[in-house]
Amino acid sequence: MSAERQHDPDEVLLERFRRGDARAFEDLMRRHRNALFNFIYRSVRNPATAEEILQDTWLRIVQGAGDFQRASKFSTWAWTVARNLCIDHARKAALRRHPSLDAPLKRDEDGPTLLDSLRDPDASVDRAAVSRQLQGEIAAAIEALPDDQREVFLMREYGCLPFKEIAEVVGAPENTVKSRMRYALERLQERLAEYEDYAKALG
Amino acid sequence: MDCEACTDLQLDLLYQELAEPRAAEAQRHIDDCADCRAAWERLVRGRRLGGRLAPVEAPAPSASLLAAIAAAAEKHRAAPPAPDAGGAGAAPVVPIDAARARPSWMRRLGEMAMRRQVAMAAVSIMAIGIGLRFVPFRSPTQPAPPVESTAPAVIPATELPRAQPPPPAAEDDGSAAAARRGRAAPAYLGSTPVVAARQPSSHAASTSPLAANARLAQGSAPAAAPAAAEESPADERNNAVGGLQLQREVGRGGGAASAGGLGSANLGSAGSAARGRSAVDALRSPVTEGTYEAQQQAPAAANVPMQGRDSAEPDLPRDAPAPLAQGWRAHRDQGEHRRAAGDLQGAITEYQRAIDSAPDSERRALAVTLEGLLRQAGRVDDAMRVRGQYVTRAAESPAQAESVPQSSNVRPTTPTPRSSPARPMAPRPSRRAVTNLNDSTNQYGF
Repeated sequence: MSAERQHDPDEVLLERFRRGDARAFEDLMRRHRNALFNFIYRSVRNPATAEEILQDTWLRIVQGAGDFQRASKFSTWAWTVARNLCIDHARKAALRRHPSLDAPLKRDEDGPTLLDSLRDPDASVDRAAVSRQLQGEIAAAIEALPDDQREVFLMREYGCLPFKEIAEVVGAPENTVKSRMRYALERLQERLAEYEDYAKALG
Repeated sequence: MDCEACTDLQLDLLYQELAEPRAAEAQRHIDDCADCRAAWERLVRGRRLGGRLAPVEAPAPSASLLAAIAAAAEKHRAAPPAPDAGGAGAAPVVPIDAARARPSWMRRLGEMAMRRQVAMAAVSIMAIGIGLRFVPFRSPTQPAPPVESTAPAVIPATELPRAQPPPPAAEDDGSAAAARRGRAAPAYLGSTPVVAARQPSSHAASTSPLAANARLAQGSAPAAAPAAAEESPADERNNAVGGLQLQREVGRGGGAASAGGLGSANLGSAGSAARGRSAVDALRSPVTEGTYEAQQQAPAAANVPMQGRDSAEPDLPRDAPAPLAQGWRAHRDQGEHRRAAGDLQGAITEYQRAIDSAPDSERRALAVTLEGLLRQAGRVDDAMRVRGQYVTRAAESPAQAESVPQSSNVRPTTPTPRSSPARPMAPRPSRRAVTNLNDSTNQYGF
């Protein structure tokens, strides 16, 4: 991506694509794909499905680019398309459940749990492995959030969408969006409070 | 700044969406207020933990997606879209949810219809409706419908009326039929409960108990009504077809009895308790043509002595249900009786009815007799028609070709609905068409 394009707003890039510049749309994808993919992935909980939905999201944006109004915001449109596809998928597929914190790490039921690993910092535990386990626990906590709270948290935390734009995407008042965000943060704090020190220790 | 305003601004402050003057003001309030500080700390720690989740690298776009992008770009290059009308004046992009939004009144109606209470109310109404479908409505001032359940009910014998008018013959005969099946239980007056058929109809409700009681009063026969009532519903169903058929025949017999004064003899000649049971069925069923006549006939048939009726048909197996051929035999016997009495017209009528209800294997013999009767009455044309319709047709069939000589002066047969072998299920002519032999429109052509 050229330095000039790096600072172009999304809408300018889309307009270039509408005039026949395919690379402008690739720049748009590069700019938003990680945020959209993480949002989709945490919503559908399956990487293959998330990739499929992300491709479908881009295809729909490509097909609808001709009707896009320049006064609108591209990110609002893109996130709305991705969210609707996630909702459609959630209506069709059963949600996957992640293993419990008290479940053994391996199939051996007598093996140490993540809790045991984290409570024994002196043990020869691979910090990277603990970090991965902590990542999994955080992911599980996020995925355990109610749908309306989780989507607001992901849009704000990973999509960096302001609350006003999130309100447009989800079709709810901004105060409602903020309330959902507050509940989401409080739930995460309650569920992950016991790992706060380990999270700090891991850096 | 008060706590409420601070609470509203905490999230904006957390994500740096608050302008600096307000942010500093909110931060000062948080530092000074313990409650707001505690709430703020929860939000900060929650974000710190939740935000630790490392983002996943998105996969590279697929080749097919890149191809679609290139194709779309080429298409746009060939035909660039028209510029928006002024940009600012253009319609903004409406989120899909908002675009799908229905009018407010429709949305409100839909939300109301989707509430849990509405679903529960709908299920309750359905349950009540289905339940009412099986509850018979009965006004206290109106008699119950004549045909209803025949499930057995236990009635103590002490509650049975002691002195009753003579029971209807139909029930009497039904009791005898059950007694012949060997399932009669002695129901002596006392505390022994008597199982009687529950009859919603005021007319039919007096059948089984009254029949049993009357017989006890006469002392001539053991009370068989309990056994009759002990018939299972399956038995009732098994006899339903026969009952329907015989009910019509009894109805016609009743009509003839009222005309000829031979009501008792009519039933007595048939003489079967099974016929009596069919009369019970006739009383229960309001849908057939013979119901009224059967009701008229039932009291008359009650005068027939029990022993005589029981012994009048020794050829019937005692455990077998009433055969369907009883009706035509009764008419045949009645016809013979009338012919012996010199009543040719009556004999013709009875033989005609016998042919009407007889199986195909018996019709020819009956038709020969009827033909002779018609010739005796001087109705040669009618006799020839009967011959052509029954005798000759039967002779033409290969099975009977050897036994029946072909007549030389056979009239062409006229097709009738009688050709169907499924006799009980075939559409039956009206009673008027059967009995009015002088009506040129009847099914026999005379």
